[in-house]
Amino acid sequence: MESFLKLTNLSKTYSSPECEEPVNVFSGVNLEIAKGSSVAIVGPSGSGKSTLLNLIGTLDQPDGGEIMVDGQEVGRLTKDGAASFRNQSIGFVFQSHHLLPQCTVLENIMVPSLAGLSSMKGGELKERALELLEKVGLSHRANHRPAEISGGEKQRASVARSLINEPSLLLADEPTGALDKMNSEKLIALLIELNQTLGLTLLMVTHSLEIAKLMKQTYLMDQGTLAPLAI
Amino acid sequence: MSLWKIIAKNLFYFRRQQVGVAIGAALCAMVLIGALMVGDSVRATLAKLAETRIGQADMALLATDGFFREELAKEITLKLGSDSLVAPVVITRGTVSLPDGSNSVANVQVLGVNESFWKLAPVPENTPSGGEAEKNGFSEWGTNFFYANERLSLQLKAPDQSRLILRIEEPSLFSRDAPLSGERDNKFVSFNGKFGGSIHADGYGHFGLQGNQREPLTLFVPLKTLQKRMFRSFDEENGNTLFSNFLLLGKTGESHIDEELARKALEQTWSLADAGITIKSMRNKEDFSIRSRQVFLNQSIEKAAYSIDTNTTGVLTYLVNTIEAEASDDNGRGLIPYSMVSATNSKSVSFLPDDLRKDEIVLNQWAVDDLKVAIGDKITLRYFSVGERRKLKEETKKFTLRGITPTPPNIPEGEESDWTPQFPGLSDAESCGEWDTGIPITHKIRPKDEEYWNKHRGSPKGFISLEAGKELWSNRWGSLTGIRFAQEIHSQDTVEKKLRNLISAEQAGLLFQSLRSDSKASLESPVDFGQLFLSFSSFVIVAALALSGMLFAFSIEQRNQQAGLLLALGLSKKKVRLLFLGEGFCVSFVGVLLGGLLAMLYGKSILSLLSGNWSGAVSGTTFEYSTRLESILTGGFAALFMSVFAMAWSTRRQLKFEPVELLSAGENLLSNDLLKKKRKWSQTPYPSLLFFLGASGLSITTDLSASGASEGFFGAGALLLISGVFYFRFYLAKNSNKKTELIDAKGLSSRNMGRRSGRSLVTMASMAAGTFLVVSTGAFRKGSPSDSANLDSGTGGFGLVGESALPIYDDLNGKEGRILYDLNETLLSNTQVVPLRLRAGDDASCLNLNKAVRPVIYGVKPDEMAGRFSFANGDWSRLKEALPDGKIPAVVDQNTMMWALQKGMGDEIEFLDGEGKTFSVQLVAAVKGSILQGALYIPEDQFVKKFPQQGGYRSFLINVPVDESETIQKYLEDKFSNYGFELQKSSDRLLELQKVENTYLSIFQGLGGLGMLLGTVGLAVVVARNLMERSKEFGVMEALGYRLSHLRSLAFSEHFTLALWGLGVGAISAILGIAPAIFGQVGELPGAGFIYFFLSLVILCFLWTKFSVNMILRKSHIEHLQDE
Repeated sequence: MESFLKLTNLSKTYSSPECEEPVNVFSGVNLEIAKGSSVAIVGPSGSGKSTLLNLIGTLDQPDGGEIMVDGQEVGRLTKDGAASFRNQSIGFVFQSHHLLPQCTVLENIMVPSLAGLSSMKGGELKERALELLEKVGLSHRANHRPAEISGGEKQRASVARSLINEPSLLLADEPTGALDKMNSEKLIALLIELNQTLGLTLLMVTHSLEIAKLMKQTYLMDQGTLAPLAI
Repeated sequence: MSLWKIIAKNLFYFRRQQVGVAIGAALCAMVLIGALMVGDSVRATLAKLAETRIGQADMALLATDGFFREELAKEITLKLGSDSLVAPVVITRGTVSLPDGSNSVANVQVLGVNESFWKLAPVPENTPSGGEAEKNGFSEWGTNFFYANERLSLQLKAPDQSRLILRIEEPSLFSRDAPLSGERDNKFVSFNGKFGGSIHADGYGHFGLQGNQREPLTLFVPLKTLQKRMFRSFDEENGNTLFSNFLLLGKTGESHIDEELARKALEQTWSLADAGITIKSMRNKEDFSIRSRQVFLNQSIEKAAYSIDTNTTGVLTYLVNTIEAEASDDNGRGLIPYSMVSATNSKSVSFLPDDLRKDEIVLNQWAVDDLKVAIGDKITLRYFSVGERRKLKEETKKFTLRGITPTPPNIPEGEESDWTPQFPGLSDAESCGEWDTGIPITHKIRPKDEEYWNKHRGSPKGFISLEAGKELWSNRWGSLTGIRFAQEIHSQDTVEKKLRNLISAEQAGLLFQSLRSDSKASLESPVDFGQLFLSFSSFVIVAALALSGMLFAFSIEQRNQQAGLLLALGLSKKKVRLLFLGEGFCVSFVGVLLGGLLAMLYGKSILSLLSGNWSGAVSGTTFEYSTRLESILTGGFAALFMSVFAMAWSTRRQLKFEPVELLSAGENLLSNDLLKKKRKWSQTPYPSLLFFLGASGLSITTDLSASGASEGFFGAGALLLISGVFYFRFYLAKNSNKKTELIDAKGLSSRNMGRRSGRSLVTMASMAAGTFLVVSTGAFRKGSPSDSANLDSGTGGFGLVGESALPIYDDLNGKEGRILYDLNETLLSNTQVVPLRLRAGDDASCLNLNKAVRPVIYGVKPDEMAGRFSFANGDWSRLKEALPDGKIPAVVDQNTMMWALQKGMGDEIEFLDGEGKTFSVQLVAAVKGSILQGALYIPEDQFVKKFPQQGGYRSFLINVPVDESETIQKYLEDKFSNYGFELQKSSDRLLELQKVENTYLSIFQGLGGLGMLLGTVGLAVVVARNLMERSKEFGVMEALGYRLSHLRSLAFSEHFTLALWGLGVGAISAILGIAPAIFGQVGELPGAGFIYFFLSLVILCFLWTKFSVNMILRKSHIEHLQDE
C-alpha cells in the first residue's frame, strides 16, 4: 500500500500554568493512510483526537516524531511554510462553520484563494466556487450571507470552502457536532461522495460510531495511543 | 437583592473593564471644568486689575478744553460731604530721562497729584504719602521727588535718589491749530526731581483712565511742582498756577460716590472761569463783553448769549496782514501792515452806519489818513486763513470805504481795546517787534505802526459787517471773539448767572467719566476665556466622550450573554438598560470626581501656558488661579450628563436583540446592518449631499466681514465635515450590503469596516473632527509679512508706524514744516509722512483683554490712504460719503470689528464729542488683518468738527523705502525726541498683532492636538477591540492558509483606511471651509505648517494602527479554534 499520510512515533505534550509538569497528550503514535482513503478517528473527549488532526493539518507542531503527507515531512515546517501547505494541500472542515459573516456564501468559498497563494483568479475562481456550490447543493444560496442560511447549509458551505484550492487531504474535526441528525447525514454523505468522486483522502474526527462505520478505516484514540478499531 | 446591589456587584466584578470608561468621563470633566476655571481665573484677574487700576475712585472729571480751577475740587467735596474725596490732578504726557542720557522713556503718563489722590489708592498705606511709605522704600512725599510706577521704573533703571528729567509741553490757551494761536513751535518745559521710589499696583501704580490690563508707564509728580511748571504763563499777572485738568472722585472704604449727586454737585459749583469764560467790563463803561480764553466763543456760548438777548452785539476781531488802498505800491505806500479789523453788528454800534453792507468797510481816521483814501474808495483786506496742518493761505477781500470813525482813544499800558480779545503772543507784546502770532511777518512795520501800537494797542483800524466777518474768519472753534451787552439793559451779574445756567458743564467742556461703571463694562471682555477654552476644547470633549462611550459599549457587549440571561429571566428591557446605565452613571460619577481634581491641574496648566508659551494671546498678563463652586458644579454635571448620554447612545441598540440571540451570540453579536435589505435614510447618499449643499450655500452666502463670519466659517466647515461623515456612513453601508463577489483579499478590508459601522463611524468622525480643527486653524496661522512694501498688504505699504506723546501740528512733507523743524530735505526726499489725528481711548486691538468701552479714534484723510491696505468690505472712499442723521463713516480693521467691538458692517457706535454731545460712528469699510487694528478711522474734517480741541497729530504712518527705514526711524525719533516720537517698523507692529492670533491658533492646535491624541488612542482601542473580537476568524483564516503577516497586513489596511477616511474628511472639510481665505476674501493664505501637521497625524495614526495590529496579531490565533 502506498501511504499518503504517515505518522511515525508522533508525540505531543502541553504545558499548563496549573501543572508544573507538562501534560503528555500522546506519544509514539503511528499511522499510515493510503491515498484516497477515508479514515475516522474516534475516542473519548480529551483523548487527543483534535490535537492529532491539528498536527496533521500543521496547525500545531509535534514534540517528537514525523508527519509525512504525500512524501513531504510537514511537522517541522516554518509558520509561512505551514500556511502555504495548508492553503494548497489541506482542506479543513471544523465543528463550527467559521464562515465570515460579512461575506456572502460564494465569497466565503473563495476566501482561501485570496490568501495570495492560489493561481486561480477572477472569473476562474468564481467559476470554481460556483461549481463547488453546485456540488454541495448550495447554488441557490450563493449570494446569501451566512446569517441568512441554515446550520446545515453553513456547514456544507464550509465544506465547499475547504475544497476551493483542490486539496489532497480533507481534515474534518467533528463536522456534524453542531448539526441535527438529518443535516449530519447529508453532510457525511457529501463528504463520502467527495472522497469517492474527487479521490480526496478524508480524515475525520468524530464521536459517532455510526459515522465512523461509513469510513473505510476507523481508529480509536485513547489513553494517548492510537489503535485500529474494528466496528 | 435590589437593582442597586446588582449594579454594585457588577461594578466590582467588572471593575477592570470600567477603568477606561471612568478615564473617558474624567477627561471630559477635566476639560469642561478646567475650561470654566480658566474663564473664572481670567475674569477674576481682570477684575482685580481693574480694581487696582481705579482704586477707590469712582468718577473722573475731565476738562476737554484744557483746565479749570483747582478750587473746584474743594467746592465739589463740600457739596458731596466730608466722606467724599475729590482729588485735583494734572494729567499730561511727557518724556522722562536720566541726566546722563543713558536712558529715556517717551510717551509717559505724567500725573501731578497731592495727598488726596493717594488716599484713593487701592491701599493708601502703600503710597508715598501712606503710613507704610518708609517700609516701602519711598522717599518722603514732597515737592522734590518724582515717583515712577513699576513698569516705568523697570524701563528707566534709575538708582534711588538719582535725578529724573521730565520734559513736558506747556499747554497753550487754545488749540495751536487755530488761527492766531501764537507761536508755531511747541513750548517745552524741562525740570527735574529726585527718584523717590517705585510704586506698586496697590499703591496706584496701575492707575489709568483706559480699560486695559496692561500697566501704563506713569510718573507721579507732586501737584504743585507740576502746576508751577505747566501753568506758569496762564496767569502771569496774578502768578496763579492753581489749575487742574482732571478731578478724581471717590470715597474711602466700601461706599461709592453717587453719580447723580456728583453731577448735581458739579452743576452747582462750576463757574464760567472753569470753562475759560469771562465777562469783561468795557472801557467805555457802557458795555460789557463775554470773552473766552480760547479767543473764539464756541457755538454753545454764542447760542446761550443770544438766548439772553437777541439784540446783543457779536464781535469778531481778526488780525489782517494788510489794509490796502487801490493806489498801493510795492514800496508800501497805500498799505497798512498788520492791523486788527472787527466785524460787528453795525446797528448796535453808534459810530457805524446802521446799514453797513457786506462789501463795505469803515476805517478809522488814522487809517484813512495813512492810506489817503476817501469815502467810496476801494479797500482790500489781506489776511491769513489757517488751512489743513496749519498751512497759512493768504486771502483777499475787497470792500468799499463807507465811513470814517475817529481815531480810537489811547489805551493804557497793560490793557487792550474793547474790541480786541487777548491774542496770545500779540496782546502781551510791548512792541510790534515782539509779536509772536504764529504768522510770518513779511511786511515792513513802520515807525507809525509802532506808534499806533504803543498808543492804541490792538484797537481795530477798520470795521466790517458781522455777516462779512463770519464769512471770512469763522472757524471750527467759533465765529465770534466777543459778545457785547449794554450795561443799561443788562447787569453784568445777571448775564453771568444766566449764561452760567444756560450752559451745561458738558458744554463748558467739563465731562464726567464713570470709572467704576466703565471698569465694570470693560470686564465684559471681548474674549470670554471660559467659553473660548470650552470651544477650543470641544473636540477634546467629543473625543473623550466617544472614547468613554466606546469603551462602555465594549464592556457591555462583552456581557451580552448576561443581558440575554436577565431578559430570559423576565427582567424588562428597560430595567436591564437601567442596570447597565446605572453602572455607567456610577462609573461616570467616579470619573467626574476624578476629573474635577484633574481640572485644577488642567486649569492651572492652561493658566501657566497663558503666562508662558501662550502669553502672546494675553499680552503677557499673568493670571491668578481662581474658581467658583458654580463653575465646578456646572462643569461636573455637564460632564456627567454627557458621559451618561454618550453611553446610552453607544449602547442604544444593544438590547434590541432577542434574549436568545444575546445568549447564543454573546459578545460577537453583530449589528443587524448586515442583514438589512433596506437601508436607513441616513445610510443613503442624500444626507451627505444635503449637508454638502448646506456647507456650499453657507460658504457662498456668509458675509465674511460681518460679526457672524467666524460662525459662518465654522458652520460651513462643520457642515462639510458632517457631510463627509454621512458619506462614510453611506460607504460603510454600501460595502457591508454589497452582493458582488470579492476580487481580492483587500476587498475583505473594506467589507470588514462595515461590520461595526457604528464603531467605525465614531472613530472616523472623531478623527475627522480633530483633523478639521487642527488643519483649519493651522491654515490660518500667519507668518512674517514678506510683502510689507505692497500697498495692499497688512502694513498698507507703510514702512514705519508710530506715535508721539505731544502733538505735531505741521505738515512734515511740506517745505514749511521741514523748515520749521529743521528737517534734512535730502534725507527725507523719499519719505512721506501721513499724520493722523488721535482721540485717546481704549485700545480695541487684540492686545487688550478688556472690552474697549471708548475705542481710540483717528482722523485720516481718505485721499492719503487711497489704494492702501486690503479691504474685506468697502474702501477708503467710503469715508467721503455723507451719511444721514449726521452719522460719521468709519473704517475699521476687520478683526477689531468682529472681536473687540463685536460689530458688523453698517453697525454704529456712539461717542461723546468735545461738548459731551452724543454722535454716531457707522462702520462702512473693513480692512483685512492690518496694523490699523484697535481703533476707528474717521475722516479728518469730521474729526476736527467733533473734537476741535484735539489739536495736531499724534499718530504717524510713514511711507519710506525699505532700505532707508532704519535710518529714517532713527533720524525722526532723534529730531522729534522732545515730542516723545516713537516709531517701529510696521511689519514688526503687524507681527505683534498677529502674535495674538497666532497664539490663539496655537491654543486651538494644542487642544486640537490633545483631541487628536485621544482620537488616535481611540483608534488604537477600536483596532485592538475589533481584532480581539475576530480572534476565531483569524484562527480560521490561518487554518485556511493565510500567513500571519498577511492577516496583519489585511487588518492594518482595514483600520488605517478608517483613519485615512477620518483624516481625509477632516482635512478636506477644513480646506474647503477656509476656501475663502485661500481665494483671498478673508485672512491670509495658509502656510505650509498645516501640511506637516497633517502628515504627522497620518504618521501617528499609522503608528497607532500598526501598534494595535501587531499587538493583537503578534501570535497565531489558531489556538482559539482549539478552544472548541
